[in-house]
Amino acid sequence: MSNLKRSLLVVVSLLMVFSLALTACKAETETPAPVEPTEKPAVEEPIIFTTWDPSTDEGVNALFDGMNEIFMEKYPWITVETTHQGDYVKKLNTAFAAETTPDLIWAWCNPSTYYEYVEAGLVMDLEEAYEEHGWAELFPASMIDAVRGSDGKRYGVPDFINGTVVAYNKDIFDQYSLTAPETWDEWMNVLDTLQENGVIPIGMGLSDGNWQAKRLFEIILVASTGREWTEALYAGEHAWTEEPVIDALEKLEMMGSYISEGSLGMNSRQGWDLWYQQDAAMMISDTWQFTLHDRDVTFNWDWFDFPSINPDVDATFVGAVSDVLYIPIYSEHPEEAVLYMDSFLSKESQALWVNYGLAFNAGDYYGLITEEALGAATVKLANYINENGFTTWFDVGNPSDIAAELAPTEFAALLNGMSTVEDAANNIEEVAAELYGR
Amino acid sequence: MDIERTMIYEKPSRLQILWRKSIPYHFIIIPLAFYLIFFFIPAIQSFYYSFFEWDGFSAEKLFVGLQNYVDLITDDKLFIKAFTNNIYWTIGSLVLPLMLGLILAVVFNSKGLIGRNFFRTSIFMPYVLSTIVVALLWSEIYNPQNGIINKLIEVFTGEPSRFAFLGNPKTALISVLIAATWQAVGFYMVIFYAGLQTIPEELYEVADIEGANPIQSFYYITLPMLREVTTVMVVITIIGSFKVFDIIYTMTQGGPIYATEVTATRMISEAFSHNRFGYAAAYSCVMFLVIATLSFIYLRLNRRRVGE
Repeated sequence: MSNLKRSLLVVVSLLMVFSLALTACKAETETPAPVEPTEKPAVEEPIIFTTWDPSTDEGVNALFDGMNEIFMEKYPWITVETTHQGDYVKKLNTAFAAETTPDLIWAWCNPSTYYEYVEAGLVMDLEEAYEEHGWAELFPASMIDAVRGSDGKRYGVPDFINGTVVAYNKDIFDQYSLTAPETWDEWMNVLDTLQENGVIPIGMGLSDGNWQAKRLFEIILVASTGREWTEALYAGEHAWTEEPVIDALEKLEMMGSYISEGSLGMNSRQGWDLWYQQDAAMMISDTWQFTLHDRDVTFNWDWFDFPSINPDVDATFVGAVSDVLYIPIYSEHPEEAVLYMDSFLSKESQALWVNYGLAFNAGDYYGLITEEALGAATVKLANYINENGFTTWFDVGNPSDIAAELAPTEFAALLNGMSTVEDAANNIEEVAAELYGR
Repeated sequence: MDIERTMIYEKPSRLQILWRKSIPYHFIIIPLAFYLIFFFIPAIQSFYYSFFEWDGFSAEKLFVGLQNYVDLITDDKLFIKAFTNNIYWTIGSLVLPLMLGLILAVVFNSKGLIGRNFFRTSIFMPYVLSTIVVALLWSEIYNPQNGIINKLIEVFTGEPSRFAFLGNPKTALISVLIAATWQAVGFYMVIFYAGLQTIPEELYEVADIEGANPIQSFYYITLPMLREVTTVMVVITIIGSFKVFDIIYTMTQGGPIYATEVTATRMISEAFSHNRFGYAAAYSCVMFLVIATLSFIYLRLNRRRVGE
């Protein structure tokens, strides 16, 4: 081997060893300190304050921009730069790993975008900020509890509650003399009547993550077993092969003949389009979509909570805190982040949310949730949530090993006749048993 | 002899010799550095992470040795499913875009074909589109409710058609492969077409005089003369098939019911849905070994055949 080739080999080998050493060495991360009470700085140095949020809708983006303007008016030395990210789970993971997070994160309140970072010690606790600013008074206790870590401390600020309802085309319902069902038998009557008349009962697309199948299952489960039993299942206290779960899976399987044909070949947007185009009479809707429905549908529409299956159980509205604002430990401006949170919770900012059509938030504290602003049905639901709380969404209550992929895939298979109730229950229980050490 | 005018040859020093020999390497230092920083070093890092249980964002990593590899090979049914789908995709890619590209290249190489420049350009155009655009376009084509294929079936049969090409586990993979073929066939066609230009015309003339028909000319002249190009394209296809990700992820996300799950989509799922970065790294290392082995075997077999 020539000398030059030998030298090159030595250089490449050294680079390999160097890269291995580089990978192995990483500075230990310090335990995050709690955020100190904020004070206006004596000298107002211009600051660029960065935030990420999960919005991709123009209307919601304008909402965030409006809140930023309110904040910047109060604190003119701070310039807020917001990046609207959409589904940014992967980007968040990378940002935390590289310690290059923004100053404030606005993310979905679920394990993969919030709780796992809290448990990994990567989020600043806000106990002192809550005490100083009195934020706890602005929300019902259930919303505050949703942002606590396993140590009981509050690590984030909730924005609003999002939940699952059934949105329906009132014109089609009126055409077939149907009303919003309140019991399981009435629900089946609605489905059968629509199907007999050639109308797709439920427009649904499942190719992008099967999450609509998950939504349908959880509202059936809560309506059957109630809040307490459902949340105990999610916490690992019941097995997935127990009778109440089997019963809910059988009902889910039954729904398969009432959803749009070829649902596994359509994404959720294509499924909703069937409702928007009046090919389907109903869709499984999140409450945050109400504003989009008002903007985009060309017919009379309304919504109802999934009908009761077992009247003896406490079957509450199914939902969760939609998003949470939190401060990563790598934030360069944690004090300003607390100021931003406080501004978000002010009456002016909350008024923007209510004007946009979003309820179930701190706007209630300020008396902004009125029938005039949001309609009687939304106010009724807001009052109900304040009094009774809500049953936590499937993907918030369950560990991501079950919620992220396994269970939704099983539910989608069941809906499309590609699996059996027994197989679905056993497959989920196999993973759950290992997770919970059963 | 004029001694004063005799040139005295000075032997260059060792350093001068080394410098002259190193000049060609000066031109590749920057691309080599780029390759090392963005490909080689991350690959080594990935290999390092594969020995750990790590969620991808915490400071702590738990050393587990070869456990990730053991779990992957012995305990992960979805890995077997995904790997099998990669093999199907490879076979499909060798049959569809590669063979179709070769046939189209031969067709468009024919003299006297009217509009061949137009057709050649049209067939190549999808290749310049972003894969995401291709995936979204074909998702709409396959739409069970409003897609053009179902509408055409309705026109020809007179019956409503709601077939879910992407929603049926039996048809999903081939449906995505057809979309990928539509995009890629132009590339294969162009490469083979370039290869065809290097075949001497005289060979075909002699074959014609000897009474060979077009199929015999293709088999005995065209295919052997395109051996080297074909070898490269087969290796590229194998490597690409085991790395396929974006079109599948956009069209089906590995569904329905894992029918289109491939190793790349599994890797993303393990890394970002289950927060198992170490396990996902083990995936990538195993796939690297598989691709390298298959490519090596193919190249050795091909070299032996050429030698014979």
